[in-house]
Amino acid sequence: MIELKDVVYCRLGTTDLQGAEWYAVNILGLEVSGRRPGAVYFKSDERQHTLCYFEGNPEDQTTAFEIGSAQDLNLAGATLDRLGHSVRYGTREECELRHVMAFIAFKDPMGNQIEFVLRPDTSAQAYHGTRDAGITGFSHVGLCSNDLERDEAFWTQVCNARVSDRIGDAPLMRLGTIHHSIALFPFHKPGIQHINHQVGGTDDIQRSFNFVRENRVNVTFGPGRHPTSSAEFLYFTGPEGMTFEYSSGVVEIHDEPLWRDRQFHFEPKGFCEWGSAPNIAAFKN
Amino acid sequence: MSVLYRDLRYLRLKVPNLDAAARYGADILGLKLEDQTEGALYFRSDARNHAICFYTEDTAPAVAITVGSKADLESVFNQISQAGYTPFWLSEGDAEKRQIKAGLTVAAPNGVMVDVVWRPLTSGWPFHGSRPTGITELAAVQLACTDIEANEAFWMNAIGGIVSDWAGQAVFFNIDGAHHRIALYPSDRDGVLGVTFGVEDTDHIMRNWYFFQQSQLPVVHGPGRQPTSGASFVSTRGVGDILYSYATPMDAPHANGPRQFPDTAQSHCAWNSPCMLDEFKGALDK
Repeated sequence: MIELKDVVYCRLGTTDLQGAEWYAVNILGLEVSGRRPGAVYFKSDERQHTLCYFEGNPEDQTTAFEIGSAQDLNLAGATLDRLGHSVRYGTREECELRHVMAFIAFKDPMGNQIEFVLRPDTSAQAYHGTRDAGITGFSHVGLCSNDLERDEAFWTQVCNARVSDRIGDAPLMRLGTIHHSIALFPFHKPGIQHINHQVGGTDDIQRSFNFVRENRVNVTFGPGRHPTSSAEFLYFTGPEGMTFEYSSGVVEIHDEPLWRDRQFHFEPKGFCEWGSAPNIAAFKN
Repeated sequence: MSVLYRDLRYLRLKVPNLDAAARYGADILGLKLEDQTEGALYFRSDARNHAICFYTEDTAPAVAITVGSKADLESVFNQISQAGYTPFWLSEGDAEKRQIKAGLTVAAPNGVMVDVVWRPLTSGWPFHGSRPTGITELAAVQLACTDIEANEAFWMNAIGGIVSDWAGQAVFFNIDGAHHRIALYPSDRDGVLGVTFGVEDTDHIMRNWYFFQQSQLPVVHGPGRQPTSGASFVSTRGVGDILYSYATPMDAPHANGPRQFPDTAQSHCAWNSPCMLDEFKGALDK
């Protein structure tokens, strides 16, 4: 069993790095925490970065998860090798570009690019967004899957994810106590389906709803409240069509043995208990 | 000298058509049609036997506040007279129409009648609306005023209300301990601007907002949050040409007395929600 601690960062290719940076700072409300030739790093919490945009193919998208020790990282590499995933160990230069001690890169059964990383940098500098979006941190990703059963098995049997709830066949999975750190949604090709940042509360969700609308950003779902995690949410579109989410009030699961995963409708009412309907391909039949 | 009122009791509003008002009150607002007479409909929102009365006769709209004793009723009568306004005792017939034991009425400068009532009818049967609105109570009435100073003076001196906050020239009156039950807004017209029903929490604000949209009702303000009262709200426009709002519980009045908020739209909505009405935009953002 591969023990993952948390989701750490996303790396997104873009053909318009300047535009992506403008959006990340002025709309999303992240803070630039570093630059490299052809790449910009963004901070959303105490971590050195939780998002990196780089010049490249927009379909080149990677999600990273933290592993607790070098030994566990090597064991994970061996396990994945044995299962036939082609595992690549990051070079020193690649580690430096990711602000991690070591990492392995591979593709999950769907073909999503995944990195398992060791000792990602935390920085002493507090996150302070340019705009007051109320962000408290990067929290989860949705990944695309064209075989939800197969991919749920990978994340829950090869790795340590536990299913907290399902919407249709789409599993919301926890790594720690947060209701979900990773979720799988039906889509025909690999990639990151959405990137979530937590915000402080209802006021932040609602102010951002009006802010992004006024800035002609496409709101694709919400404001609403998920019946699964009980979080209030807002989904909207970012550079290269990426879906970003703000949410607040996600339930924490502290009593592992007593939690029972629940089955929700793969219909608007399974996604929102206020009455909003998603305009997001992977959330619709 | 001034009495503490028990509550905001009811709103009486003239409507052009009782059938349309009956459908609107029950199906849209989620109130319960409790009583009806030939010319009037009485809707419940809580234990009050009625919180809103729609009628067709050609009389001025009225808003009511409750006193706890006959002595208080008499002292309010004197207080209004001494402030320079002319109160009238309600006749037995008028009291019956209002489902009260006794009361007085006085015209506010904006033409809205203010009924001060004693022993209004409470229902022994629980309130249950037609849809899950989350309604818990009649929360507030908003009044439009062409002469805001005259109306503020009336509510302060004649009625004995306590200012809990100003937003520009708009003023919020505490009459029973809550942040406000009466709010006055500067306007280019006089009369009733709207009525607010309290709901349990923000979930109900948002569900009602989606209900408005699915029902193709105009959303004139919100979903938003008043920085003054702290309540989240959403507002539509309906029968009798007034606003109907749902709002979450208000914060207590500010401990150090009334605060002045700037004359901007943000003083009426901390979420910067779109607004179709000049009354909530503030003079600086119109």
